[in-house]
Amino acid sequence: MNKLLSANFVRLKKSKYLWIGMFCMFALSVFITLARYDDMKRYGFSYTIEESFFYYTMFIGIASSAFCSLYLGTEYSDGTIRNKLMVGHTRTAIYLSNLIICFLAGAFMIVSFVLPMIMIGIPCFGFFHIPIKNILFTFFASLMMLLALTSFFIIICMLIQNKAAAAVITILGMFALLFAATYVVSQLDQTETIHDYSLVNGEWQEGPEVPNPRYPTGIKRTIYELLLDILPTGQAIQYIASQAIRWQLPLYSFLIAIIITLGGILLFGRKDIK
Amino acid sequence: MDNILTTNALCKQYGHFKVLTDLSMHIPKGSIYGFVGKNGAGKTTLIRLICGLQQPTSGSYTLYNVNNQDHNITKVRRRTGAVVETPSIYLDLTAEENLKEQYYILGLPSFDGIPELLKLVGLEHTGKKKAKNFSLGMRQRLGIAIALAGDPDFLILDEPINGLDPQGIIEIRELILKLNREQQITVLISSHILDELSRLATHYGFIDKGHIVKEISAEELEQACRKCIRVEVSNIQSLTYVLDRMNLSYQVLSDTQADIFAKISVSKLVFALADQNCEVFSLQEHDESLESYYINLCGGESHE
Repeated sequence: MNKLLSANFVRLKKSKYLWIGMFCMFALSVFITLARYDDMKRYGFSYTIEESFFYYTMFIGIASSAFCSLYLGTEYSDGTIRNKLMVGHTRTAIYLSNLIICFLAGAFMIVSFVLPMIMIGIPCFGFFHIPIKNILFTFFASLMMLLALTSFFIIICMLIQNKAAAAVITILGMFALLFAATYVVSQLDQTETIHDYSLVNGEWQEGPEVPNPRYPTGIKRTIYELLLDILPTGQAIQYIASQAIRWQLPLYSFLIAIIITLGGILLFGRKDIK
Repeated sequence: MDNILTTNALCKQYGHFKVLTDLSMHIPKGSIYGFVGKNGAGKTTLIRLICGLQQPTSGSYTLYNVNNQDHNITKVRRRTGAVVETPSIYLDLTAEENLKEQYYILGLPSFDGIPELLKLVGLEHTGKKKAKNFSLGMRQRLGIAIALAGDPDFLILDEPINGLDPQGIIEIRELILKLNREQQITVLISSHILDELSRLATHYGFIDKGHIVKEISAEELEQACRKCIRVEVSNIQSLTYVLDRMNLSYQVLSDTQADIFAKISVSKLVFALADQNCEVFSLQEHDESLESYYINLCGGESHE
């Protein structure tokens, strides 16, 4: 597999998709930092660096989905995946080397976000207010989240030979994951009680507090909470708020990556390649 | 003669559609094996199976005497090179970068062989031109260079001259002959351009409806297609008697027909037969080409 990794790495360095992705993440980081600094100066808002630091967890999935489909789609559209198979590389090695390279590409994009955030953000907002070990843990957990997302994109791109179709499905899949996480958060953020309003003489009057029928309780709430922890995009929302110092989250990501990758290797091993 | 590739009752099915049925073929070492068949006959499917891109539904094949079920098959594949359908090249890389990429895939320690390889396929002056700006012939030659990167003993070329201009066809033909003669590379070349194939092949395999109809060497084919005069007479014994007396080689086809493999004086033959009270019904010059041989074998009802 080392041979495949070196070949992929050489191509990765020349990949315009990687450089575009890294530039976008870099520009986003600079924009967020400067926009918040401007708010702070103009309107007197108070910001800390950790409030913006993990914003990349929301964007890296979109960037990675586009990258994986375009980078791996070329292997099918140019037919070069055949060169690897025809000289005797196993399908498992090809699958895993692609996963590793796409994960690395995502990690480079994260670094492109994090570096300017540190270099510009610390002078603007001061140093981190939460312990460094928590920052490091969340950073590690976000890499695990990236691994889970990448394994999801890889299985699609390795099984669908049409580059355009793979790109559409991965990007739409990513947005579906984002919407799913947003929906779960909106459900969990429901208040337990709400005020009962009544119309008296044409005016709304606030009544007593009553239980919110939309507030999820019992098993339903447990499922939503579990979904938020399992969904990589749900984890991203928690990482942005720097409130997910729990070992379960990276573990879930790792398990997701393992399960999807095993399934992907099995299906790719049986796939007829044209 | 040793065979580089042997297939045994190979079958491939997509859903309910059988593409290959009990296909058995033998490619002798050092040969240029012309694989002939109509579009959709199963040529590319067979090549995909041999290259490991797809798995056979049933049957097996041996490559360098290693069965396809044997885990060592991946190792012996390293000794083959192939261009399947379209050349497998990165369009946004130059010719040299494409070869470097293949060298990495093969794990070759140095790039020293790249200039020689580029020269061999006539792409040494392409410089920084990206493959997407190459002509079809140049792409095809780059595909062959990539297939040759691992110094293979067996080269598989699927329709290598499709879409090429006459100059491109000549270049590819010269290259294949050079590789076969100078480097003793065995070549499997699939094509339905029979005239071109007849200039290259030392052996032929004819495939029809997913099945090998006939395997024949170029020499045997030449014998079968030998220029002759087909004569139809009332009495075959009289004909053979006359031909033996005239010391001419011939082959009896039926009770009334025979092929004469020599230049004859028609009037002398007719008079000699008339002396034997044998009537001549027809005399036809018969010159069978690879094309007519193929049509006779596989039928000409389908047009490509």
